[in-house]
Amino acid sequence: MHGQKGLLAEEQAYYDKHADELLLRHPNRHLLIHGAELIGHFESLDEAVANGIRLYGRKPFLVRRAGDRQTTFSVPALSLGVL
Amino acid sequence: MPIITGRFHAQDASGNDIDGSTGSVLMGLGPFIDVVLVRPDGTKDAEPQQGVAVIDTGATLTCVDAETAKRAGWPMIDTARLSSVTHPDHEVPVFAGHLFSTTLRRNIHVARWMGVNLRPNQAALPVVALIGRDLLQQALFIYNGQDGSFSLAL
Repeated sequence: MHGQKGLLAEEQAYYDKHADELLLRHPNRHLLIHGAELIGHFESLDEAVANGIRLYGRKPFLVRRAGDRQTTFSVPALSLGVL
Repeated sequence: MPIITGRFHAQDASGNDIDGSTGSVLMGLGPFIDVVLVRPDGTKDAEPQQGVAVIDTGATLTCVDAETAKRAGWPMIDTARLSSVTHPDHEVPVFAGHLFSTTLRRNIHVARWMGVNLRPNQAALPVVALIGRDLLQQALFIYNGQDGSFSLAL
């Protein structure tokens, strides 16, 4: 998707830089990151999202489980122009 | 677990079903259900964003049209990489939200919706979501081409 590159870049950079430490300190927790700061860690993704919405409304924030990497997926129908 | 069966008929100019058309209609449109986008906190817009979700067994993960998700107030919570055999991988937004299926009369919950460009206003169907194999892991889905119908239990 054009124009989406760089979204959440600061949050992503923070996560990548501190990935090992975050996993060690908060295993299996869902991290809420805004800017270059860890805002909190939560039992569930829904809890982390709810707190993100409470704090930032519709502005983007990063929610990712400690240790997880960026997801890669495929949709052949999009690649082939079927849709 | 509710089971719905969808069967589509082509209609003539007077609005009457055309006999024997169900197979070709299903082949042309694909299996889909009607949906409304709901924010993660359960609230809907005064003018809700709605359309159809197409069942796409080729999609690894469930996707939402990114522009429709933004209009519905779904927050962006991550990014992901869309891989393709024909184009270079590229980064897409990931959203949090729910779909309410007016067909199934229940919420469809996916933790992370991949935001892609489905161009819902330019296609024959207003496709706002693709139901991928992550969601189908919990489902029973039967495509009956002979009968021109599909059944979905989710």
